[in-house]
Amino acid sequence: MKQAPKARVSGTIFLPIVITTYIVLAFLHPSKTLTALDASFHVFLRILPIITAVIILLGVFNYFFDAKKFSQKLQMGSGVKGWFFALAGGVISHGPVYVWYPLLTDLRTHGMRDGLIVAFVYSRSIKVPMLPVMIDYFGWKFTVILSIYILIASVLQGVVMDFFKTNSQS
Amino acid sequence: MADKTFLRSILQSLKNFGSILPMLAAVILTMGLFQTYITEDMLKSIFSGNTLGDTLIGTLAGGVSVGNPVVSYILGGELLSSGISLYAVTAFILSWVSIGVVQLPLEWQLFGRRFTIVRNLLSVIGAIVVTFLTVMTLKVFS
Repeated sequence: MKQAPKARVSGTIFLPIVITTYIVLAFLHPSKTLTALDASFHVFLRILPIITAVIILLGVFNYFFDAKKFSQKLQMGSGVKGWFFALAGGVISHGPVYVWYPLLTDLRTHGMRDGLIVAFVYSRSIKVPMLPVMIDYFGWKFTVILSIYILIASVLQGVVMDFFKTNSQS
Repeated sequence: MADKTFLRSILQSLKNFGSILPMLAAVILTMGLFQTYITEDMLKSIFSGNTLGDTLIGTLAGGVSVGNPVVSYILGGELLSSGISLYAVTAFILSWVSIGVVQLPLEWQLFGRRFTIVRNLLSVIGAIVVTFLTVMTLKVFS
């Protein structure tokens, strides 16, 4: 059985770099930098409910489901069901992709295969609540055709990722 | 007892999330910079009129842009009405949601170098291929 890796704090180098960039830019373009800070704060407010939902979802998932059993459905040989779970999950999941990374890494640790993670991430390109806006700007034909190709591309990318993974292991 | 275990599950997921908080903060702060410093006029000025070149530029521009996908539809609509090809605009709105240069460090940290490189390369190729197929299919049905 795979042991879950110890959680490592990430961003200890990237965050100081970004903060330093802000400090430098604050001297060069004070008002623009303040606007950037304000925009970041709005991004944070927008994703806060999603982060909360994902934390709770992750906790509920770990409590009610046998992660090992569930991830077995998403391992090699999971077939059409595995692809269906990945695509459906990707299409219905809301918010920025990075808030879903902890859940995906958790599932990956328990054996979810990389191809399905890739399919999940790419199928998130279809934003169901925003489809009416896309239809309004580009027409329904464009929206339907693009969405179908995104789903096909999600599976194909997943297959290629699995191929790479299998070849690197053998 | 059961409640305690449930609480422990929530605390564990909080702890897992806590470990990516500095990276998440860095990504969000970078988004603010990108949203402020990459303007609509800058985006318009980079297209040349060549279909393949503009598709590649659209893919790259969408990949480095950040924000709500609705913004990409609005910008895409603006670009389309100012004469930019549908190929470039499709690549732009598709890579806006499928490629994320800003979150690359987080993906790298959590999934590893190999996964991140392969997945993002596949996304770039996917954006170009899906763009061409979509526009060509649309032409057939129009």
